Amino acid sequence: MLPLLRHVTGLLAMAVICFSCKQVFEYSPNEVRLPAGYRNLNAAAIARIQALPAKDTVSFILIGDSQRFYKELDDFVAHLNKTSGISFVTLAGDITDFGLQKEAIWVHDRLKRLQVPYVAVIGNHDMLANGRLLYREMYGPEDFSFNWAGIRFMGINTNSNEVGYSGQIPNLPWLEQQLTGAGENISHRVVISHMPPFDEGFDRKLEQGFARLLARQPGVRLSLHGHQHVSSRRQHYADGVEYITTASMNKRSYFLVNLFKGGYHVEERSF
Amino acid sequence: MLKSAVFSCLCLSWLQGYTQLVPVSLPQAFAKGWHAKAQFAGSIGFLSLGAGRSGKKLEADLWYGYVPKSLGGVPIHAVTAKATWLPVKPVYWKGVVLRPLSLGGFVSYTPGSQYFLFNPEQYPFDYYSYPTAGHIGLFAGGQMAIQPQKMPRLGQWAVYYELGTTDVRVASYFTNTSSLTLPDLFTLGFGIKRKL
Repeated sequence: MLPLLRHVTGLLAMAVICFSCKQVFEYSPNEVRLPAGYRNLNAAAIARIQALPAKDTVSFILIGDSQRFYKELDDFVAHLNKTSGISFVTLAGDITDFGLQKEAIWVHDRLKRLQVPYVAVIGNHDMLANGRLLYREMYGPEDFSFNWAGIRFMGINTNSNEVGYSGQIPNLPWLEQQLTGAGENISHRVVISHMPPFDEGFDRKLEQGFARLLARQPGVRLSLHGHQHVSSRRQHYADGVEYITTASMNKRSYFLVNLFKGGYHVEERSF
Repeated sequence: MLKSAVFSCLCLSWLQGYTQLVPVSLPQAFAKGWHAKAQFAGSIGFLSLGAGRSGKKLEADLWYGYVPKSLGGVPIHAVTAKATWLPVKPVYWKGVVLRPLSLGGFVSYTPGSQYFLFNPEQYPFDYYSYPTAGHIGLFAGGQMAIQPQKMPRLGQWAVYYELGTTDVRVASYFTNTSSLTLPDLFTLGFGIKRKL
């Protein structure tokens, strides 16, 4: 009887160990093997946003470059959860530092504690190793769009350096279709991408095309970015379109974007 | 996760049955010579096969590890060089022979066009200051010798575990100790070794 008891307790001990530590086995740092609850995150966030009642003034947050800044993410979440009137958060890429699943899970484990939804676009660091597959499985398509409260939001991959400036990134034909096909009830067009068009990581051959696409749209147009790790805001091409770049999370700042009839207001804040 | 946990439990419980049978003589259990190993997880593959040489307190092995597409998203191959230091002499305990402490490290290379050792030409000089094709790891663990009584011709076997970490986890944890926790730093690997 005693040997049998020892076997059973031994098995139980092993089972407890195996089940108690989530993701205790790693086959490779490069694995893309997402647990349940870590897939199609942008689609779920967009559904939550679109279920919100439409407002005359929409307020959302722009953050960027969370790469390996986990304690800052914790502080940002705690700070924003005490702030009212915000509809959602946008993360302008470089979610991870090395394009690895473990990092992406660590980031989402923090941002999912936000009381509001968040959407994320892909950054250049997120394209390292198997990062593109990771992003697509975890967040969804690299280029995406959705409408809410009279605003057309577009997320797009602008990390041209990661594909050797092949001309395929950013996908300007797609962007044109999203901008021009937005519909008559759309008064604001907001494009969110990691690499700003004036950065060396963006394809020089496509820079003017990107800027012109935005410039010739009606209504309010904004282009939101990350990557540069310092914040800036400027009409880079003197064409009525403001390019807003948020700092990396370790700088502890973000932008609050308010969109209202006929205009917008942008404010940088700290946490 | 469930599949790997069940697999590990089944392997360990099967081996545990054999350890009840006969003690292994102390000198033979961890003798010098060539060995072959097979490992589950431990960041070098879903399943990895290795071969190498054991001394009194040192082991060195070369590995090939594989993660199939169904478990890694893409097929992942890895070639790893591992060194293990066993500073404590074999201990005879309750019918088994233990090497209760192992400390070691590994260097692993993953081939594939999506990884690089040196920044490809498209980037400005040293845009990324680290290789994505290579990883290094550290671990601590233990080994236990087993010898099936009814099949002495099967030879000298040992089972081992490794509680390990990798460069990415270390770089992330030590810059975020107030946010990440020790379970974020470590992963588990199990393996078996046979003297050749």
